[in-house]
Amino acid sequence: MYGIFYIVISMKLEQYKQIRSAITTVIGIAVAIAVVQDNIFLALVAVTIGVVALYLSRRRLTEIEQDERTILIRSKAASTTLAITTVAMAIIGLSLVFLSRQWIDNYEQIGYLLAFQANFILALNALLNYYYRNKLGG
Amino acid sequence: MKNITQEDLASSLGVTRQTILAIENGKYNPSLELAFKMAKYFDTTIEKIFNYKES
Repeated sequence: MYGIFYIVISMKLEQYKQIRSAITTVIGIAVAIAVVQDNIFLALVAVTIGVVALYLSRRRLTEIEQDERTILIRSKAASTTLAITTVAMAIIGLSLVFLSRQWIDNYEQIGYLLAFQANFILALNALLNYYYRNKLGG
Repeated sequence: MKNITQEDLASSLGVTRQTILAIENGKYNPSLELAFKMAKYFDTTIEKIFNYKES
């Protein structure tokens, strides 16, 4: 009896990845429908249910999903993403600001927004660096 | 040496099978903690499992 119950509630990594993809797809579809119908309540409900479903399915996972190597991979991917996106946002933002003053109209505000976003992300990154440096021994 | 699978070793050390594979292929250098765990698992020393090459 316990064996059957264990099979039902336990989950292998491959099965977990499939379920995670399915839940993410359903959330995406629901949010898209909510945006089209201009229904924020539907989006909030879909995201909440999705997050709970992801949490519950992860708890059923019996295999190890994360270890020091996967953390290193995620960390490297995140820092590379940060470097690329902030530089791209700053360049595109400043280009839009200067170009809109000369040739292209109506893009100056978007340019400012992108440039300020890049600054905000870099400032947040510096703050988090400071926090983790202190937390992990200065 | 023990006659075990990568999956058994990974499960005993609390890491994924891909991590064991990456260490075997020399694509990933384990942390000191994991290296100690491996040495303890095989009842040997770190130096007998890993050798240091200056890059």
